[in-house]
This record gives sequence, structure tokens and C-alpha cells, in this order.
Amino acid sequence: MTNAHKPQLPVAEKPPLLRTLLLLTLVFGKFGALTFGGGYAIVALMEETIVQKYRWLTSEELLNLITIGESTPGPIAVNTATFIGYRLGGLAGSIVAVTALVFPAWLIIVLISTCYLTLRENVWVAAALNGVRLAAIVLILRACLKMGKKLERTPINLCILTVAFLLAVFTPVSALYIITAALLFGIVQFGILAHKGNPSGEAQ
Amino acid sequence: MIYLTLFLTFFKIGLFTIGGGYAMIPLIQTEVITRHGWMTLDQFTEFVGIAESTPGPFAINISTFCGMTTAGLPGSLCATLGVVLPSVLIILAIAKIADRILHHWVLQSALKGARPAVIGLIGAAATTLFSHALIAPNGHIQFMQAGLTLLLFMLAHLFKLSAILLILCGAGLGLLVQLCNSFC
Repeated sequence: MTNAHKPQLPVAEKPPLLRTLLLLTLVFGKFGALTFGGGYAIVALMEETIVQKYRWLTSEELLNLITIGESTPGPIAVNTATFIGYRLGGLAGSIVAVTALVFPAWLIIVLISTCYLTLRENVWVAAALNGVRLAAIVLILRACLKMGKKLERTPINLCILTVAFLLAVFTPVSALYIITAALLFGIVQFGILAHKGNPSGEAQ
Repeated sequence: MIYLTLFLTFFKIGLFTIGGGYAMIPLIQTEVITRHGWMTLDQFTEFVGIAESTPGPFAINISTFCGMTTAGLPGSLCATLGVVLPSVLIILAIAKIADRILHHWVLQSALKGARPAVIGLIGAAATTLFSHALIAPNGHIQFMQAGLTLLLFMLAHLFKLSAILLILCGAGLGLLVQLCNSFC
């Protein structure tokens, strides 16, 4: 078949599976190899590539997927990769997208940690790493403050936050149990009790 | 068997990471460091900095590193697979009915309860890591460390430094202190 007789593909039409898989590999491989700073940086790049360049999704659909990524357990980048891969190429698509996302990051860290363990003995490297450690603490604190700013300032939220903080700092209780307790507390407090006061409809 | 334990530990961590990579920090702290003793708190904090300055999702970087220091190359594969698998399984399970599940009141209210707790936990991680960096092995408080952290915090705040630049500033300051120590 010559190109001249081939009808122009509309944007929404699905390309053949193999081509989709190849594109998924390239796009998510790029996300894994080139983005710094975790999930949200990747989201910005996804908007550029997936929505604007390849038009696999509309920006509203992408936003929906990110909400799903945020409300399901696991790293946001992995969740979004699974979902987009699945949407475009089924099970194979999701596996390809996640593998492509994970592989470069995995490879880089394998190389770095091999050097790190030997270099760490050096006085100068140790001194630089001490500074890196302090900067990392600042980063963690900054992430915490940023998330805190977005949180609604209600007494009940402050209460959950403080209890979780105190338990984690002063007791050896695992973070796993604290999160589980908070999930259950949320169901009771914001789900069941809110339903009682408002029997007609959904919890807020 | 170490590989299975690594896989299961990171599977659990992946399952309870709610709201992005930083939510993993308190989980790794209690499960990997306190419970299994696979790495020291110092190594972990350093690596948070390194993970922020290398490409790729933070969660993948940090689990690969934990697996690598604990049990080498196969260990890194087990930890990374473990942290990724819950996401993949859950998303695949709900992919077709995601819209209905997302707005279900049970999930919404559970997440509403978890969000403040995750913030509290990350704050707690910053606190324990900071107090660990502050207190020397002999029990003395190292004021230099406190001063450096404050300086980095001010730099980050005033100049809105990106993570990588902040990490580089940290490394530079660390070297500067060492330079002063060895020549003064």
C-alpha cells in the first residue's frame, strides 16, 4: 500500500499495538531518565509530551489520572504510568510503561550506590555528604510545610497531624500502623459520623 | 531469606505510600532502619539528598538504594519490584471502574483521615533526622550542624532553590567546614 492512498489518521484513532508499545517505552523511559525531583516534576513533563505532543489524552483526562494516582497507594509516577499504559496498550502497555519508567532510575542508582559505599570512607566525601544530609533534612521539612499549607485548618485535621507527629517522634510505633489508624479514623469521622448528620446524601 | 524479606518489606511500604514519594520516608525509617537495621540513619538521610539529585521517581531511587546496600544487585531488584507492584496491581484492578471508586465515600473519607497523618509523619521524620544530625555520638550538641541547617533553610526559603541546587549548596558548605577544620 502506498502512502498516497492511505487516509489521514484522525487524532483519536488508536495506532497499532506494537507502535504504541514502542512509543510508551520511549516516552516513559525519558520520564525515568530525565526528570528530577519526583512525581510532580514528571507530571509536568507528561502534560507536555502526552497531552500536547502525542495527544494520547486530553489535559482533563490526564488531571483525572493524576487524581487517581494521588488517591491510590504507591508512588504517583508509577500509578500514572500504569494507568496511561493500560489505557493505550492494555496489560502489555502498562507493564511496558512501568518498566521503561523504572529501568533508567534503577540503573543509575545501582551505579551510584556501588561507588557511594567505597567513596564514603574518604574524609572529603564524608564532609560533603554531611552537608548533603543537612540539605536533605531541609528538603523534607520543606515538603512537609508545603503539604501542610494545602491542608484545611480544622481542629480535627490539626489533631490527627499532632497525634501522628507525637507518636512517630516519641514512640516506636511503626508508620504503617499510624497510617492504618488514620485511614480507619477517617472512615469513621468523615464518612460514618458525617453520614449520620446528613442522612440524605454523600459525605462531604 | 533476605530477598523475600526485602521484597515483602518494600511491598508493604509501596502499599502504604499515600500522597507521593516523601510519604515513604517515615515508612522506610520505621520498617527498614528501626525494624531491620538494613542501613544507618546517616546513610539514609544522605541518600535522600542523593535521590533528589538523580533522575527518576524518588520512590524508585530510594528503594533501589536500600536494596543495593542490603543485598546487592538482586536485592535492588527485589526492593524495586516490591515497591512498584502494589501500585500496578491496584491500578490494574480499578482501571475500568476508577471513576466510581474514586468518588466512593469510604475511599474519600479514609484519605481525608490519612492526609494530615502523613504530613505529621513527614514532620516527625524531619525532626528525628535533624536531632540525629545535631547530636554527636558522645552526646554533645553540635552547634555547627544546627547553624548549617538553619543557613540552608534560609537559602532554600529566600532564593526558592530547587532541590538539586540546595543539595549542591549543602555539599559545598560541608566541604567548606572541612577545609576550615583542616587548615585552621
